[in-house]
Amino acid sequence: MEIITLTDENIADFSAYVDEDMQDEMSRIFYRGIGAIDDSDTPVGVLIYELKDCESEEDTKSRIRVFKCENEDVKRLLMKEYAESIEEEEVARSFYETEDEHMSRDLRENGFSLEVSEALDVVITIEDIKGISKLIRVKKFPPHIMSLSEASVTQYRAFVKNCLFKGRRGLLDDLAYLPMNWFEKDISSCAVTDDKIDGVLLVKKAPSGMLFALLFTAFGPDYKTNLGLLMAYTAQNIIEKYPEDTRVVIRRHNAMVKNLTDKFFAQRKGSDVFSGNRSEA
Amino acid sequence: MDLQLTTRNIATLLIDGSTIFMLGGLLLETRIMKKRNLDDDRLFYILLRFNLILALADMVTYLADEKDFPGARYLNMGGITVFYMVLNIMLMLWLQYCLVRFRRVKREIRSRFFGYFVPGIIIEILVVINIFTGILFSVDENNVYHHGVLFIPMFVTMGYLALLCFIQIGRYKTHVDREKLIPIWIFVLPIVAGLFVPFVLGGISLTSPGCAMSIMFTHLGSAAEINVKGGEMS
Amino acid sequence: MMSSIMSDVGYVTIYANGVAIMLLLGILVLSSKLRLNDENEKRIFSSLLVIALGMAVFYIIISLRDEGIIPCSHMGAMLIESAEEFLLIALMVQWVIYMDYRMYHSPGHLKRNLNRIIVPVALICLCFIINIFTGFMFYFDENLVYTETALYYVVDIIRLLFFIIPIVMLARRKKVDENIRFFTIRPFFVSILFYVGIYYITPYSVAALGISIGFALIYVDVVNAYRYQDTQTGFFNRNYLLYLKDLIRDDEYELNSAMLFTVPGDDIENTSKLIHAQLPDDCEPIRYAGDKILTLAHVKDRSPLHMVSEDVEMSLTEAGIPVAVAYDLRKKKETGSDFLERFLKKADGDNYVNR
Repeated sequence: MEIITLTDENIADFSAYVDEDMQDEMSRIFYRGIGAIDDSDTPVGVLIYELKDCESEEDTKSRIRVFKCENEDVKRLLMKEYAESIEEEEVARSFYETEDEHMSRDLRENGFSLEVSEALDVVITIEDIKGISKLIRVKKFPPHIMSLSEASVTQYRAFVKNCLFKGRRGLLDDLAYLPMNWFEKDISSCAVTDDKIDGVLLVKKAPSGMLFALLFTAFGPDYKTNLGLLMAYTAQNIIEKYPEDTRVVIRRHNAMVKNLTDKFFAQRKGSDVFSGNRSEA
Repeated sequence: MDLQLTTRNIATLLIDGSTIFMLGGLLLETRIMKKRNLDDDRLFYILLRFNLILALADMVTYLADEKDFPGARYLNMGGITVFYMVLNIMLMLWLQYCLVRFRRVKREIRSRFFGYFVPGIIIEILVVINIFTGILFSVDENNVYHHGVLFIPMFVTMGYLALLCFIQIGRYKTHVDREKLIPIWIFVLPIVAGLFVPFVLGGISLTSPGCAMSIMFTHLGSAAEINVKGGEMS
Repeated sequence: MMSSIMSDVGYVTIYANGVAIMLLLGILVLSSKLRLNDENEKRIFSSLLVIALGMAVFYIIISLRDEGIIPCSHMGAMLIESAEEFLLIALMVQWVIYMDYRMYHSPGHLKRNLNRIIVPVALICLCFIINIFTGFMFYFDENLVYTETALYYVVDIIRLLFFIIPIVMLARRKKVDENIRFFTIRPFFVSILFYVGIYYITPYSVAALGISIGFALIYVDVVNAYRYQDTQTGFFNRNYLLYLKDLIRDDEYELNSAMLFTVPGDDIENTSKLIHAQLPDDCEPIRYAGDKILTLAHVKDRSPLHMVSEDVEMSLTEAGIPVAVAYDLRKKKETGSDFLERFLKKADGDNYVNR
C-alpha cells in the first residue's frame, strides 16, 4: 500500500470516495489531500483537509472534509500520514463536521470528540429565494448595483484588498488567491461607488450545480442599503437564470448570517451532523 | 442686585460672549491636542487663557459702567485695571510667540529684551500704581470712566508692542517664497479694527474679539506657513 | 443710546456682523493657503464661508434698511429679505454637502444624498419665490415693518433639522470610523446654536456671528488634522506616528502588522501617488523618513500584505522606480508597542531585506 499526495491531476482517480464538488475544491490553495492506493494502484482511501488561519500568527487549524477508507490498515496509515503532515504545518487543532456517520466513528476512534448538532449549512430552494424578492421589492435597481461581470479585475482586486484589511473574508480563507472568474459572475453582485467596489455578494457554482453563497459584505456610507439591494439583485438573477430545482447553500458561520437566515429563511434548518475536534499540540 | 441692563450691555455680552465661545472652543481643542502629542504650542494656550480673562474683564467693566448699584464703581475700576494689565501681558506674550513661532529666534529675545519687553513691564507697573494715583485712568464717584494724563503714552506703548509683532511676521516673510505667504493684513486688521473702530464709532469695545482673532490667525497661519515649508512643528 | 444715527439694535447688528465678516474673511484667506490632501473638501468649505459671508453682509444691509439709512421700496424690501432667505437655504445645503463629504469623502455617496434632499429644498425655494408676490410666509406692511407668519416657522424648523441631522450622524459615525476621530463637534455646535437661539428670541440679528465662530472652530479642527500631514506626499508625518504610538501603548489601537516601502527620495510626490493608488482604504501611510513610507494596520494575515506588496512593486516597476517592500506581523505574545519597536528598529537599519 502506498500513500500519495492528492493534486488536481490525480483527484479524479479517487472519484469513488470524493464527489465532484470536493474534487473542484482541491484546486484551492489551502486544501490538502492524502490518498492511499494498493499494490495495483487502486484507490483504497482518502483524507482531505482544509487549513485555516495558516497565514496569521494565530493557531493554525485543520478541518477534515473527507475521510474514507476500505479497512483498518488504510485508516491507520492515513491518520499517521495526516498527523505527520499537520505537524509540518504547525496545526494546533483539528476539527470536522460531517453527515457521514462512518467518518465520525473513524475519527472518534482516533481521538476526536463527537457530538451531534445542527449543521451550520442551510440549503434553500428557488421557492425560498422568490420569497426574498417579495420581501425586498425593488422595481428598478440603482445604477451602482451591478453584476460582478460588469466590474473590472482591477476593481475586484482593490476590493479584495479592502475586504482583507477590514478582516472580512466570509468563508474564504483564500480570498486573496481567488481570481474573479472563480465566482459565478452573472449572479454575483457588487455595489460600486466612486469607481470602487464597496459591497459584494459572491456566489460560487459547484460542478454539481449547487450554488454556494461565500461572501456577503458591504462597507462605506450606504452599506446597509447596499446589503439589501445586493441580496435582492442576486436573488432576482438566480430566479431568472437557474432551474427550479437549484439549491443554494448558506453557511451560518457567524451570528450575523444566522440572524439573516432566521429572518428570511426561518423555515429552513440545518440537518443533523456529527462534529468534533482534537488538539494537536 | 439690579444690573440695569441696557442695549449697550447686551451688545457687550454678545460680542465678548463671542470671544468667550471662540476661545473656549480653542481651549477645548488644545486639551485634545495635548492628548494627540502635539502640545508644542504652550505659549499659544497661555495667550488664549489671558484673552479669556480679557473678555471677562471687558464684560464686567461694561456691565458696571455708569451704573449705580452697590459696588458698581469698584467693579468698574477693577475690571478696567485687569483689562489693561492682561492686554499688556498679552501683547508681550504675542510678541514672544511671533519671535518663537515665526522667526524661531530665542537668542534675539535675550539680546533685545530692553527694546522688546521693558516698555511693557513699565506699563504693567504703572497700571498697578494707577489704582492709587489715577495717572492712566480713573472712575469718578458717578461711576464714569476718565482718561488720565499718561493714558495716550500707555496706548502708544501698547500700539508699539503690537507693531513689533507685525514686524516679526513681516521679517519672517521676507525670507521665504512670497507666493506662499499669508497676507500680513490678516494678522493686523482684527486687532487694529478692534482698537480703533470703537474709538471712532463709539459704543462697544471690540478689543477682546480683535485680539482673539489676531492671535488665532497667527496660530493658524503659522501652522500653514510651517507646513508649506515642508518642515515639522518645533 | 450709543449714537443718534442708528438705534442700539442697529448698532449691535452691525458690530456683530462686522466681527463675523472679519472672522470669515480671515479664515477664508488662511484656508486658501492650506495645501490639503483633498482639494474638494477645501473648495466645499470655502463655499460655506463665502455663503456665510454673504449672509453677514445681507444682515448689515437689512439693518441699514430697517434704520432707514438705505431707502427702500416695498418690493425692494421683499427682494432683499428673500435674497437673505435663499442664502440661508444655500448655507443649509452646503452644510449638508460639507458634513457628508467630511464624513465619507465619497462624491458618489454625496450625489445620492443630494438626490434625497433635493425635493424638500426645491419646495422651500418655491415657497419663497411665491412669497415675494403673495407674502404668505413673511411680509412688510405700509411702514415697511417686517412680520413672519406661522408657515415661516415651519420652514425654520426644517432648516434647523438640516443643520442638526448631519451633526447627529457625525456623532454616531465617529464611534466607528477612525478617519473622522479628529472632527470635534462640541465647540462649533454650541456656539452656532447659542447665537441662532439669540437671533430667534431677541431682535438682534447675530446668527451670522455664531455661524462664523462655528466655522472658525471647524477650521481649527482642519488645521489640527493638517498638522499631521506631510505636505509633499499627502501622507501622515512623524507627529502622527507619535500619536499612534500612544494609542498603541494604551491599547486604543490594535496593531497587528506593518509595511515599509523604501523608494528614492527625489520625485517623492509622484511616487507617493503611485503607492497611494495601491493601498487599501484602511491603510494610514506615514512618511517615516525622506525615502521611507510606513504603514501600520490591524490585519493579522500575510496574504493581504503580500497582495499590497505585489501591487506596489508592480506599479512602481512599471514606472521605472526602484522600490524595496518589507512587511511583518506581530507575534502572538508580543504587545503592539514591542512589535512596533522591533519593526522600526529594523526599518532604521540598513540591512532590512524584502520578505
